Amino acid sequence: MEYQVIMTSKKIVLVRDFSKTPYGRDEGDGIYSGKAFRQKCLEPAMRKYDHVHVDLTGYNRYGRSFLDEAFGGLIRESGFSAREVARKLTYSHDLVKSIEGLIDERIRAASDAR
Amino acid sequence: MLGKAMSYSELFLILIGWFFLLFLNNRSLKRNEVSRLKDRLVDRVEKMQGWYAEQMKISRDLDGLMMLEHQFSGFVTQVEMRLNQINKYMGRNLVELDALYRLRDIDVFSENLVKNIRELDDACYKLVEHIEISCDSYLVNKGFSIYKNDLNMLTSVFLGSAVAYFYFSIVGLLY
Repeated sequence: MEYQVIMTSKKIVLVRDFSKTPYGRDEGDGIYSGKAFRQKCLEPAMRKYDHVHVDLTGYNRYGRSFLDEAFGGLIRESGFSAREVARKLTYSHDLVKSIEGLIDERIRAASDAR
Repeated sequence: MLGKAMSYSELFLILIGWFFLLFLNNRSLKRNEVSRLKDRLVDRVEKMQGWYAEQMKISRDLDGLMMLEHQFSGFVTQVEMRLNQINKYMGRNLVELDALYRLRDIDVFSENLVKNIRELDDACYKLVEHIEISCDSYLVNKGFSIYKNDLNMLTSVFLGSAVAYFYFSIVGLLY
């Protein structure tokens, strides 16, 4: 008997699904902060789908604190393990590739600090 | 049709000569452009270094630091886009973006001001050194190294010459 594994996936386009000007770490910095993005978009999608891709293209000035809170916060605050994040989450920015590198670094730092 | 004064092989040689001159001219223009972009980029990074150190001393409240992080991120993005331009001109990824990761990872909110500025200085110096070394290896050729763009240009020169040669040969046969 053959079993077929059905993977569900979700693509989040940050500038379309969240805000055109994401900014800051938490609500004290504004309503479109990294924490708000994690709590409203990223975390629910990570819990519901097998794979989540975040497309960051469309905004080129993501702050370190926004990315740290949104992606590193998945491990620090939302209870995901580094392995789960590595397996379920991918991200891309078509123009500014160093943003992807910074997210890698923030996830690694959050994982090391745990 | 061309007359006795100029044979097809002579015409072919002239065309080759013209195409080779075009190739050299194009190569020289490209090298000048890379050099100009590199100077502008290094200047930008050095200015950012000074500006950041100054701002860190002024903006110590949360709003000020938030604004500084936003502006700093914009600066780093501009640097990255210019690096991409240089890579496009050179036709290969000579300037690796890894050098930028350290710069982007600078924590504006760090409590230790001295350590923070030292980290930024370190990241900036490393980036400038990397840009200088990478561009020099392109600009100061050891022998006649052919990069991807040059190879495309040389291929076009020979294909263009061949097409022109066959065109004149056919025209010569017809008339």
